[in-house]
Amino acid sequence: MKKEFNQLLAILEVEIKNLLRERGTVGFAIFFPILISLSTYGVGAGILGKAPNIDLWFYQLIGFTILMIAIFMSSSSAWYVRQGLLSRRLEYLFAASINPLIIVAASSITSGLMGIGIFLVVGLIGVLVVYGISNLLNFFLATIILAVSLIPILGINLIVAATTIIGKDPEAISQPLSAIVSTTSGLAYPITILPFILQIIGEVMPYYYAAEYVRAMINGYLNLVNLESFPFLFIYLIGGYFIYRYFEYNFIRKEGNYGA
Amino acid sequence: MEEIEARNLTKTFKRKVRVNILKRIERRIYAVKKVSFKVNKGEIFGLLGPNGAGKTTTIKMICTLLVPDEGEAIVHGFSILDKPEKVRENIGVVLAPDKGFYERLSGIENLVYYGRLYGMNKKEAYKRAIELTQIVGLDKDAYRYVEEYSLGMKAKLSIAKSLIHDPPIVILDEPTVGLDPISARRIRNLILELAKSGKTILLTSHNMWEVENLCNRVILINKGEIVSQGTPRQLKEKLNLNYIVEVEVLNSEKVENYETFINDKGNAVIKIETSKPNDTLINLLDELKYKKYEIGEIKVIEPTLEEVFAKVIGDEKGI
Repeated sequence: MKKEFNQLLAILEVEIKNLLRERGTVGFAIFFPILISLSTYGVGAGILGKAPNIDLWFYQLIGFTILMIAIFMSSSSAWYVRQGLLSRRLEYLFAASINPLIIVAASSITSGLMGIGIFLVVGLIGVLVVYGISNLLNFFLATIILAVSLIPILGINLIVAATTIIGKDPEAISQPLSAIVSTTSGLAYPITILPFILQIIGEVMPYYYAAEYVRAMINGYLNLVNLESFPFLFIYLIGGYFIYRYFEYNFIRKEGNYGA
Repeated sequence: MEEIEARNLTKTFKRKVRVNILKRIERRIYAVKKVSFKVNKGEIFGLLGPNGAGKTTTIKMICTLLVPDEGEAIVHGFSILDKPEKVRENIGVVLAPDKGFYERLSGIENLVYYGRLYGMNKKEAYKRAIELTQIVGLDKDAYRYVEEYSLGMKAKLSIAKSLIHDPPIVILDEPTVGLDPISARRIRNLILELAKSGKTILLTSHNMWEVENLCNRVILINKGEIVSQGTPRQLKEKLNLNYIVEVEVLNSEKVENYETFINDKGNAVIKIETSKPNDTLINLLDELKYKKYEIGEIKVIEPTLEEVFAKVIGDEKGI
């Protein structure tokens, strides 16, 4: 276990070092949810002829922030794999005695940490504007809830990583996934306004729960009843691991195409 | 004692082949077919063959990066099929000497990263990384970003990376490809030192001179199959390749019964191609002595591995 922990820390450390050099990406990730939520709020005001309830802006701000985190997380393993293929680092990772779960976990944790950092900055602005300091404690608890609810996403990332190694193209996998997540997970609007089939898709994705739990926690109405679906989301983690292993032994190590 | 034993390693890949404008069919193509060999402890063993011969596929199967369709290999006593994790712990690999690094990290940081992947803690990995940069001669550049490294420096760093966990077996795929002669020589010296220190080396190369001078034993692969194996000398002998015997005859421009050429000193040189250089030379010297010729410089030129390669592969390709 000590060895695995060392491996995880090693990848995490170099990935964070690399990420910190991408200041432009971090800046964009912070400004995007603020910008887009203000735009949709402005459009709403234009249509209604008056300023809509500020709670709606906050709803969208949280939604778009989680959308940003979802995009980062779903594309993180795909891009990690792509970079690994181009630089042939992936080949060396597979030649080392390392569990692939550690590789994907490290890249996902890196993007997850970045996502939580973004949430802290953007969410704090939103909470202070809408609720003042009264909801700050709830906000920090919501950040912890968000961190925990991102864990099942690891399972999805494992499948994304495996399919990227086989398919070679990260965009082909991460972009459709981001599109599905952003339209069906209730990030910018409640999923109840969606057709039934899209509601079902949204409800089986972990991102929907992350957004709902965070909003509920900030507003102070999250309780254990709301969290009853949460343990089931860990099926993603277990399922993702087995699907990854299946892909690894039936395609990746059989075809051996580790270089782009 | 064998450190690597490959038994009938076979690997096929699916390739789509167009039959006509509308139809493409899937065919299985043999990349490696029933390849068997043994590598002894402390030995430098070479895999030689043209592009696409199956050298890298063979190496990847031994590294556990590829699962063979048939056959298996035992590496340091562990099966690549049953104990791949144990195999990985006991090998160091260089698959592309200039690749596999984080370009925006220093050489040391890269080595520490790889050390930790093999389960070392940060302190241990750092200590070992410092030691290795000194061994490969990168100590002055250890803290520079890898993106600033030349190809030769990256090749050295690659070898250091493969040694980070001190494995008993080192597998090198074309370790000197693209390097200038000085850097290539340094890498070759490093490989010799590794073998002297007891490590077992399995390497592939296109450089015949390199293989001939480094390797104790060699296998020649073509189209996925072993076409010849043995020591470089045995390979030459098996093919009955001709040696060239040259004898300089002083103060003479011609020698009766022999074809000659004039060298830069103005002396006649007898040149004979023979598969039995010792006999030929003794007979020739006896005859020249009998005829009272004054003998100058004597040369026996061995056939090179390149000639072996050209003969074996060329014959198969009809060249």
